[in-house]
Parts: sequence; structure tokens; C-alpha cells
Amino acid sequence: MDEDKALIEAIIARQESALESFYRKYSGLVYGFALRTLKNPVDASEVMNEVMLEVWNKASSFAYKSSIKTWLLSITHHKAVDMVRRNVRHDHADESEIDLESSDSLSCSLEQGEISSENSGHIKYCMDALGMAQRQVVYLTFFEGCSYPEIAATLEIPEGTVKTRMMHAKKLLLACLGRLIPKWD
Amino acid sequence: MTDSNHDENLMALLPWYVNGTLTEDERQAVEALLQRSAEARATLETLQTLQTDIKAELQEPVPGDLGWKRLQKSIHSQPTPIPKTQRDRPIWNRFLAAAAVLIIALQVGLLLKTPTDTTPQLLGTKPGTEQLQDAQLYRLVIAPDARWSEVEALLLELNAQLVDGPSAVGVVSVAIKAPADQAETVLEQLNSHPAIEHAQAVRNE
Repeated sequence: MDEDKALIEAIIARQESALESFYRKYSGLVYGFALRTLKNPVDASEVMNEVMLEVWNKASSFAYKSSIKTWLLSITHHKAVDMVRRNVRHDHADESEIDLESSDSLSCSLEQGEISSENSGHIKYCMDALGMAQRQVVYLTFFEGCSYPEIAATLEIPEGTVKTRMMHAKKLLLACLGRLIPKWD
Repeated sequence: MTDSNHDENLMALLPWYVNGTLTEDERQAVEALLQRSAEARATLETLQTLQTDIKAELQEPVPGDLGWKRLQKSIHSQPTPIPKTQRDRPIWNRFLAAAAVLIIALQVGLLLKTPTDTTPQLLGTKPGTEQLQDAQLYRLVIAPDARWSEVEALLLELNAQLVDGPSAVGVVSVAIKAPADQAETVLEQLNSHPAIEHAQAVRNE
């Protein structure tokens, strides 16, 4: 039995020490994806807590059809989208206005001065300017090293949509970086 | 499919060629494209740089010990699920079990004795009202690099009761019993501790 399977079995048996080991192993994966999706550390911590609580309560529902990584990323995605919806409702906006595809601020002019002189932060800045859906695909591909079928399974979208989102994201990202850093121009 | 459509489809696979997750067939097709297309080679180089920069820049610290403490608190505060076997038991079975327990309790005279609550105060649960009387409340912001064991040691040293938290952003409320003229000293002690980023006294409600 591999280590992850043993951890899941122990979590199903309500062994808190197994949950702690699981948390230590996967909290970075969950928190990082939540943070990149939501762009807010407080909301990302909240989502991470909800995801781990779901693992504790529903580990028996994991059917080993996907990897644990894909399973966790998928739960994180759903919890993060719920969080976005809750925040939108909280802000008294019409829920139908949520557009996960649209870029958040790329239409705004990018001020060179907003980025530090050492160019640090430029990737984060341009990533955050992408729409949530595009940002997720870029992050899962380049940071988490996910294949496009894994991303499609995580986000529950067709594989073709993953490629389309990547194509648009790449164009916007390179345009943004090109305006800020000479090497990207 | 035309050659140009075929090449466009292969160009779309380049990000996953870069992260090394294509199937063997896809990988070979992309490598053939790279041999015949300068545009594909230039895009590949850009994507490789992008991947390196993303990996370097998006590395984030995780909540660590504080996140784990918070999760522990969440799992302890939720209602205990009833095991399926108990849920599925017929109702008369549960009635009989309850009746049996009652009879046994009567026999051993348990009902004649008033129980005394000697449950110790658990860390993370709200103390009773009597425990907060004469205590000063403080709100503490825990330093991001602090370990929970350091915070615990400080709370023990000051004989503090955890009233609330830690929240997702590392804020806890504690009650500390100390003579009124020592309130300032306690506050200074909290603020000077490396595990505490900021401490403030809050008015008891």
C-alpha cells in the first residue's frame, strides 16, 4: 500500500495524526492554488481549511480514479469558486455578473512605476491581471506541472477549453510582461 | 486536417511539452514541429523562461502550524457523525438499549449522586464566565514566522486562557488574570515577545 493510500485509510478511520501528516504534505498544494485563484491570503487560508475539513469528513468518497493531487485541486477549485460567489453576494453585486473568463485588469493601463525597480513581482502582477479561469490554467501548468487532461479533470472542462484558455492567457501574459520587462518584449 | 491546422494544434501543446507531461506520441509530433518551425522554437524558448520565472516567483509560504491548529479546532467543533451502523439500526433496538442503560443506572445508584464538573479547560474552547471574571482580555497578532509551541509556552507562562482564535490571519484573544497595576507590564511582556507581532488590551464586555 503506498503512503498516500495508507494516509487516506487512516483518515477514514478518524486518526487525527494521519490528517496532520496529510495536511503537512498537501497544504502547500491546496493553499498555493487557492491563493493564485483568489488572490487573497485570508480567503485562501479559509478555503484550505474547508478543503482539509472535507478530506477529514469525506475521505471515503475518494475512489482512486484520479490522483490525490487532482482530487485535492478539484475540491480546492470548487471551494474557491464558492468563495468568489459568497464574496460577490456579500458585496451586493448581481451573481450573474461573475465572469471567471474575463481578465481582471488588463484593460487598465499598466504603470511601470507600480512594479519595483528590480523587476521583482512582475510575474505575479501580470498573473493577477489575468481572469481567474486563465490564471488557474497557467498556474496548474507551469507551477504545479499538471498535464492538460489533469487540468480538464480538475476544473471539469473539456481538454480543448484548457488549450484555448492557455492560448489566450499566454498572449495576455506576454503582452503584459513585454510592457514591463525588456527581455519579454 | 490541413498542415497549418495540424501545426496550430501542435503549437497549442507547447506549454505541456515544456512541463514534460505530453504522451510519447504527442511529444514526438511536437519535436518534429520544432525541427521544421522557427516560430515554434522561439515560442518554446519563451515558455521555458516563463515556467522558470513562475516557479521562482509564485512560491508562497503556507500557513503551517497556525493552519493546522485552526483545522484541529474545526474538526473538534463539528458535531460527531453517527456511524452508519448506528443510523441503520431499527428504532425499537435503540429504545431497548436506552431502557437497558436506564435500568443499570438505577441499579448502581448513579442518579442519587450529583455529578461534579471537573472537565479541564481545553485550549481553544471558550472558558466559562467565572473564569473571565477579574481577567483582562488581550488581542494578539501572532508573528508570521512564529511556531505555535512558542505561543503556547508564552500563554502557559502568563497563565492565560485562550478565549478565541487563532483566526486564519493569526489573531487570538486571551484572558489573563493579573493585579490591575500589572496590566501594563503584561502588555509590555506580550509586545516584546518574538512570537507576538502586536498585542493590545481590549475592554471586557
